[in-house]
Amino acid sequence: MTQQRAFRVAVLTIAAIGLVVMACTSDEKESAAGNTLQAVLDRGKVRCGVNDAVPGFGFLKPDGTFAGFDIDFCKAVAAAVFGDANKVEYVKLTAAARFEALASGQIDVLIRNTTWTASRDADLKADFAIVTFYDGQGMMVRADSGINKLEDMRNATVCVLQGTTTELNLDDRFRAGNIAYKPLTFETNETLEQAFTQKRCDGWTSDKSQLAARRSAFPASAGGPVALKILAETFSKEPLGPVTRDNDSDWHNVVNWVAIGVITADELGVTSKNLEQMKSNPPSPDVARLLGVPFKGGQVSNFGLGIGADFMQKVLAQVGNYDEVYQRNVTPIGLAREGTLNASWRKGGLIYAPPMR
Amino acid sequence: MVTRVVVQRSPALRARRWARSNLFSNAWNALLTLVTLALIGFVAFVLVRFIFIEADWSVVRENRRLIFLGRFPQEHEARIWPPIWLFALLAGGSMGLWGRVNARGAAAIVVSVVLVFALLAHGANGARLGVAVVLAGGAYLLAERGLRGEAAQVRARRAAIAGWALLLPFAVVVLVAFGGAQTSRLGGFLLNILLATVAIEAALPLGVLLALGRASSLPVVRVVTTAYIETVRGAPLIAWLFVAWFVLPDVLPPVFNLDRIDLVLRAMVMLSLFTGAYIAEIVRGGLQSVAPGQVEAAKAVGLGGFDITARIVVPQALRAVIPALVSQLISLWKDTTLVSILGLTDGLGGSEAAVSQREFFGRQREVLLFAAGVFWVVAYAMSRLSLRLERSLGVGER
Amino acid sequence: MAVLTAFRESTLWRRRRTRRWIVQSWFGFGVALVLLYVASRATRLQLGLDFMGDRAGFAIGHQWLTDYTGSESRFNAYAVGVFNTVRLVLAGLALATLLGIVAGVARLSKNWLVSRLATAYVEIFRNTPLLIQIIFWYTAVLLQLPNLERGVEVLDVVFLSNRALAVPWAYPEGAFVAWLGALVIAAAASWLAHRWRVATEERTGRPANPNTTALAVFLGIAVVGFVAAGTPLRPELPERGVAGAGIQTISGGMQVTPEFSALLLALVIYTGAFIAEIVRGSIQALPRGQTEAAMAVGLGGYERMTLVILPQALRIMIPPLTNQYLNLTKNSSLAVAIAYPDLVFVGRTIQNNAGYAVPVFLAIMATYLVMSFLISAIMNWLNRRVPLGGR
Repeated sequence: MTQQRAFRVAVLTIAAIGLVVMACTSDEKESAAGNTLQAVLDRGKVRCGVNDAVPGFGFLKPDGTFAGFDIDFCKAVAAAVFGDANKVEYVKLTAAARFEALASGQIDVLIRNTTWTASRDADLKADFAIVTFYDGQGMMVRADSGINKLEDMRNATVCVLQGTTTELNLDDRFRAGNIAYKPLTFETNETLEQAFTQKRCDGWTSDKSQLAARRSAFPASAGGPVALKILAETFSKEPLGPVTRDNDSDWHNVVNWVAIGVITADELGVTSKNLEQMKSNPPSPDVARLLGVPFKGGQVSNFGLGIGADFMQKVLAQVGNYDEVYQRNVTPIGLAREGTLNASWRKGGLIYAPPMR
Repeated sequence: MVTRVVVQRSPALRARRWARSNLFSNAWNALLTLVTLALIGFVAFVLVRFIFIEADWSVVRENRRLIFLGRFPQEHEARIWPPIWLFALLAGGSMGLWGRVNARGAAAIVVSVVLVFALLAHGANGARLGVAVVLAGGAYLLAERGLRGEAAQVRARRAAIAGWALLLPFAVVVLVAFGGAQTSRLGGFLLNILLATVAIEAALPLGVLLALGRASSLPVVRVVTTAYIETVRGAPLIAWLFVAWFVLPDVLPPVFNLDRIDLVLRAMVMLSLFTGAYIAEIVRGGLQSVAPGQVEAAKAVGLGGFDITARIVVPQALRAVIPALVSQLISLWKDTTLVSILGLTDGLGGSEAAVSQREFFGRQREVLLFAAGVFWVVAYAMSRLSLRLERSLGVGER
Repeated sequence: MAVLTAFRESTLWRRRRTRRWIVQSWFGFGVALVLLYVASRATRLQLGLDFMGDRAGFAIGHQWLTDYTGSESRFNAYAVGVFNTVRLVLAGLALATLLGIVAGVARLSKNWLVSRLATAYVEIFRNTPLLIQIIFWYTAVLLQLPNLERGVEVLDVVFLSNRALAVPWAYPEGAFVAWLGALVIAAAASWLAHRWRVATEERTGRPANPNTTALAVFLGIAVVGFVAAGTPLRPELPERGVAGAGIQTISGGMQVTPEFSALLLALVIYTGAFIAEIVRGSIQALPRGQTEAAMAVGLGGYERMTLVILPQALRIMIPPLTNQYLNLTKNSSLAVAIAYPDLVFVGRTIQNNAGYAVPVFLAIMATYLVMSFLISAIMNWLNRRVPLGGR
């Protein structure tokens, strides 16, 4: 009884809030679909969904800024749209949250080592741009273990990094090969590596790029990189690339063609260093079209992306071409580009840009 | 007679006598002592070996900015200092006003302050840290020595309390307003501190209201508040944070546009709602301990229902449950690490992110030990503060 | 005059009642509005659980008594996760209570070193995040055990390594369920026997050994049932082996994995620190006369504690203890950090694979709510059974 009057105030407030809430429930369209390009231009920043725990691809530097291969593609999009690679708002996302974040409009583009699959494309309201990195799941074992192929791993304990498809691929492959195994699924590579080093498990499966990174930095106290070997077999395909929302073609085109432009510049040999020279004196019509400059006094070609014909100049000046991005981020984690799927198609790889014309 | 005097004066003999009565009073006790000694020795050996020989602390040294400030924009870094200065001023002044600091306490304070802030002090920050230290010392001396008379004391205490109340708004305004950092860029232990402070200040009143609701004589109010409290307490904070992420956007009215409700705010709301339910249960116990005579006496002097509740019942109830409240707040402080599920980079998140840098692969133990140390220092300080508060309010004494 | 007073009182009564009615209906109305609104918005959420019937596609490493494989449904995977949580929590509750009591008593020990150590234990483990403690116990302690090749063997039946602590165990087979039925009958019969002997005792006034009789009845029926059911338990010894390309394995018996042990250790030590504080507070809340009286009748230290002090302290500490039990249950959700597939872990994996975030997390919450409710109910029942007598 003593609290009655105090309560009346609270009660009335709550009721009033309830009423206000009801009153505010107009059926306004809140779906995030629509013209993201215009929204991005109005906002003055690109919201880019990223990861902060993938060495070489997306991680935090000591000064609190993001760096990595995926991050550079966020920067490239910002440079193309605003002429300033720093106009990015990074949103760190967990694997579980990323598609939800994209679908609900909390981010404009998702560049977070995301594999292109049919169900994601169709079911999760996502649109995939060109593949910027070809990865695949592999298995790493101790060099002295006598395991040379997956079939040798009968009754093995396998350390897995909790991912979206990693555990599924592992189960598919081992079931297909009729290989009994026990998974040990970790949330972070750090804890997993300690378990593996202490021989808690016999194999370590993850994307091969990550295995290579971990192997190259394997501590000398545990034998160094030579103590580990990555089995030849790749038992999943992981084509990774930027993702935008469904039915958002203007924005999708911008993201897609910026990525393609970065690859094209690599094919044409245009780098951040020779950009000025290429700009003033383009050696071929292809280079001129890429940079949005006239070739021998001709017309400037505009692809109609809505972001200015010279967008690749800004991207190349501030971020660089595919090879520069790769060498800056992926080579240092111990994964050379030559001879892998991520070499240019001219050198036997799969990195291939549709023509920019 | 003579020998007894000698026994009492000789420190070695006194120590032996103390040991005999406190450590080796009988065989069972002696065994316990030996086992305990062995255990302590082993743990100390392992710890010392790790800290001074095996560990490579460069990962913490290099990443101190990431650990303490997370993704806080560099161009706004100067903004963190005014709140720190105000904090130093208030802490020094309060200690001078209320505290009786002995030499050991002072040494502990100096050591912990130096430990925590030495990591922040790099380059230009040295001077700023110096300002903080001078402010704290000056305020302490002024408060302890400079105040003449009771009136000045009372005024100074009121000013200090007002200062503490204003610290959080001041900090938020300085950090975020006037073109400051986006809230989503708040990070590191700075984020933990802000989240914990905001959630404490929001959860306390919420918890008191909920407790009053549960103790209310109105059945509807009682049922609703009880349902809220029990539901919230029934599931882990992790699960509630997931709900904040996945469900809130769909059930909140569109006026709360997600573009405007950022993650830090959502984390603050969830932490407050969650802690509020726990505080309600603690306060409920306190309400039950208030003697009925208190209410009757208040009625007799003609106080109204609201005044009785706000001025008589709640203050006494809160006083009675200070230890439980503080331990709940310590839990909240530790729980702020779970916001990394939302994609925020708090102190622990920054520590773990540091080991994703290739040069620091395999340095998880160092960063975790360091983060644990920081959490421990703050939590321990809170529990000491609560002890002091208990003593000065005379909790448990009637 | 009297009539007037009566009238005034009746209007007052009426007015108060009206006021209460108005306040409550406003409050109820407000809450109902909010709930209705949330419900109307929630209809836009996909809440169906059909996807849980699909093939899970991922294996689970930590299983005991179950043999789930990746080709079973997601429901089954989730059930394994729930079972993993339940056995972790049950073991944790028992051990944390034990440790908490020991540490709480130790804090009051007359041995200076012991009481200081207990204090340090409480202050260190209560004040650091549990997540860090879990990772610490796993990586710094349990993974440092010798690996399988160098594992420790005791008499060829117990193996200790960082793969597992493997001990002999008996597994059910054949008519095990029938034997369980026999056990139920045995329990009922022994309860009846107990009542009968107690009644005899009261009638005749001579000791009739109700406890011994009950135990004998129970054991008798259990053993007879066991033999009659064809000994439905199969003892199993752990066995080391080499498979494939020299992969060392350990199989059979019961295997306690380091992930389970690390979680258990961390949860027990963390929760034990809180329980220790509760125990200490409850003991200190007892009147000093209890200890003195116990001394006066000549009880020793151990008997004083177990027969006089703790049983009384138990009555005070059940409500706060319930809170800690609930906390332990909920804290087990941090298992994901060290590869123990509890229900949150499995739920998140399902959500990662299938999408459907909202139903998955609502299912997780519902599971925890049910567990919390069960623990609360049992503890409340216990609280009523052990009333605060004579105070």
